[in-house]
Amino acid sequence: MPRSYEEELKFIERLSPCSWRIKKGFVPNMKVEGIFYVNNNLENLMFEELKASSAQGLVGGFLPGMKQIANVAALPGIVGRSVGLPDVHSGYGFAIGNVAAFDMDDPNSIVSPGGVGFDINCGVRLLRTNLTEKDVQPVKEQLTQSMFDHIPVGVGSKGVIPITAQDLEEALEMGVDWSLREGYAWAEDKEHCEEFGRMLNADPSKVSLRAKKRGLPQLGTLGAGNHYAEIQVVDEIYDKWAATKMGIEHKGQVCIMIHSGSRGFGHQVATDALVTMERAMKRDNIVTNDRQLACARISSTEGQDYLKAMSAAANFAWVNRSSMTFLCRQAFAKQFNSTPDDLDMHLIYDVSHNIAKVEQHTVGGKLKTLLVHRKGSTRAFPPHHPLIPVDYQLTGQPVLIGGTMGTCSYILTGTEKGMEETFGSTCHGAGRALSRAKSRRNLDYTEVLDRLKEQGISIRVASPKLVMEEAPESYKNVTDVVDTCHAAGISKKTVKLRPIAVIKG
Amino acid sequence: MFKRKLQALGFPNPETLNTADEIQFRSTIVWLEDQKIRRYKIEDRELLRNTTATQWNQAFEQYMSDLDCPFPKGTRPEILDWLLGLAVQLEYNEKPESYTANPKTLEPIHQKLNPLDNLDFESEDFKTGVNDLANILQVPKHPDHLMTLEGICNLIQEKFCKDALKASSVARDLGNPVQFDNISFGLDLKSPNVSNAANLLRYLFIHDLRELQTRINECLVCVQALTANPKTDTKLGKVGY
Repeated sequence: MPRSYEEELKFIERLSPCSWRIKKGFVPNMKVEGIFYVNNNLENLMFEELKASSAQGLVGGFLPGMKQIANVAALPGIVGRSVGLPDVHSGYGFAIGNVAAFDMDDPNSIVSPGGVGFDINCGVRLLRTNLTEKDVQPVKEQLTQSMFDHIPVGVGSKGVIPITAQDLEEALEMGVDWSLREGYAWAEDKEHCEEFGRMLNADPSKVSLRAKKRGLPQLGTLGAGNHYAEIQVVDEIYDKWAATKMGIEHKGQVCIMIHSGSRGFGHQVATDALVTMERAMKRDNIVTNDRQLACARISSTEGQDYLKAMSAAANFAWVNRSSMTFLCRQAFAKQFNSTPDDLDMHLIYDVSHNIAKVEQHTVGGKLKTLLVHRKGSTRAFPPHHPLIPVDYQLTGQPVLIGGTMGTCSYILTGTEKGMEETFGSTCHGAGRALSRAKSRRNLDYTEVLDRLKEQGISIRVASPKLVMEEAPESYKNVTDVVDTCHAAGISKKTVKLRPIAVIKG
Repeated sequence: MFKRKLQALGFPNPETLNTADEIQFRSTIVWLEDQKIRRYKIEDRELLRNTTATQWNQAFEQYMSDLDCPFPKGTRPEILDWLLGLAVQLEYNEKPESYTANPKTLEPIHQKLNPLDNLDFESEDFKTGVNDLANILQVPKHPDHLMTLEGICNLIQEKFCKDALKASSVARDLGNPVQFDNISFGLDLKSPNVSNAANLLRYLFIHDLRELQTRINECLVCVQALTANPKTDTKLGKVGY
């Protein structure tokens, strides 16, 4: 007998002005409680989603975010809490914007591809320049075109960097180190990447031939969906000192944001793993509340193989973003008749927001080694954490939040409170409010493009008919999302950026 | 297959040694014991030297066990290879310095020329000298005068060496002074003095870490000079839909 909406609400309790607790019993077998962070505006979306699903009686389609957070809390080996961040929305198995950590010392602990997502190591990187908006405005159209010409976009796009099957194997193993060796990346780029741009446990032999075939021509391509490259200008500086540490000196300074992932390669790795894990679940008697939560014990062959293949996909994504960085630098250097060095095109940071990593955290006063799944969530380590670059030791790790097309993006920094409450994690972007299909039905693409033009944003799109999927209306308000994280103290607002040019798939 | 090791040991005819030949094998073993390994005293080598005797194999087995050979049951080439390795090792251990690229024999001459090496670092004279130098340079003194000297060295290297003097003569952008009071150093210490000192140490540590990272980057750039050859081929590019 399904519960009514009112009955469901008994399990949800407000913890603070911007956080809510999901009590045990909301779904069966919850091992820990859930928590989600929302402000007043985002709260309505969450509760409406729950209301709609109780009315329907839970059949078909995606579960509401709250249910998904709770179902994850019922997975074996989970510790602390199942965390939903302000941009949380329904995803495959795990909600997008869900963080869950599993105890590496518990033999029952699991790893789940659904907790990482299909676009493994999708992430955002930000390059700075010493140009100002004034320098770029007169050549904006040419520059946008040049970027569009340099970086192939869209589904089925192919990269301009020649790569053989052997190169790919090496790239999968080495990540950014491969880009460095081949000269596509700068030494300083590596320093400012999460994990220094290389997952050391990557094993290309655990990746299917099919995944490699899909990945080979796609290196150095942006892809489609919500991925983009934007020329942005600094719109607001909230923390002058931290911004200075990142090389952001004044309003109007031009930056470049690249949002992309592991393309078809990561998707295939995830798909392959889901198939093998279903078998492992039967064998090891792992029971979950949702079939989409396919998983395997971390220590099992299937679990280990997935982690190694996932790491290879993560390395692919870093090489991919490094390649596009190289192409962006070339495009800018050509346009301004200068060198990337003289344009000070340094990488501020590169974050991963779809990944599972082994990290140490304090849970209940004890130091534990955990496998932290971050799906649609960005790592946000506090100042003085040994795993963040030396330049950010005093400010905390920079967190790059890509907004929706034509809105704005943010740089946040990690905080001690985030380390305590959310395993050092924060939001990753705006988070979808309307499904892709719904946005296609409700919005008109020409209107969306016209509006961008009115705002003075140059745009190049491979498939204009799909832009309404990515229109700001389809998403939660990124400012609400970021403000919630700031108010909850799980990360700190540092810089706001607004786009002046967008290239998209 | 043993040519290089035999050559290194100065074996008379390394090119033509055939270990399958029993006579050659036995005489090689005798040569190794006589010339290089010298496990037994000369008078105790009789049984082994008698290569035509029927008990030679027994003597050989005994010899191998005396040498603690890890493969007493190994094939002859295996055993011989191990023996040659042992001989090379013994030979090396006798005069290791003669095999290093920079023979150490040169260094002592240098040292004698360096007057600093003849100083008595513990003499009163030396201690007063360090103290005077510390006073001139305003370096705080440590109870251990050698520690003070280290501080003085650091100061001179950073501020008074040629490069540093050159850099200081050029007007430098002073940057923004660090707002110490506004930075959280992540340490919760009650006493303000201890807290200040700890924060300063933390800051200096970060400074050192930056230095290290810069050197790592320089190292990477050096390697890139050898390996990097970025290529693009626009013909390969394809925009999707």
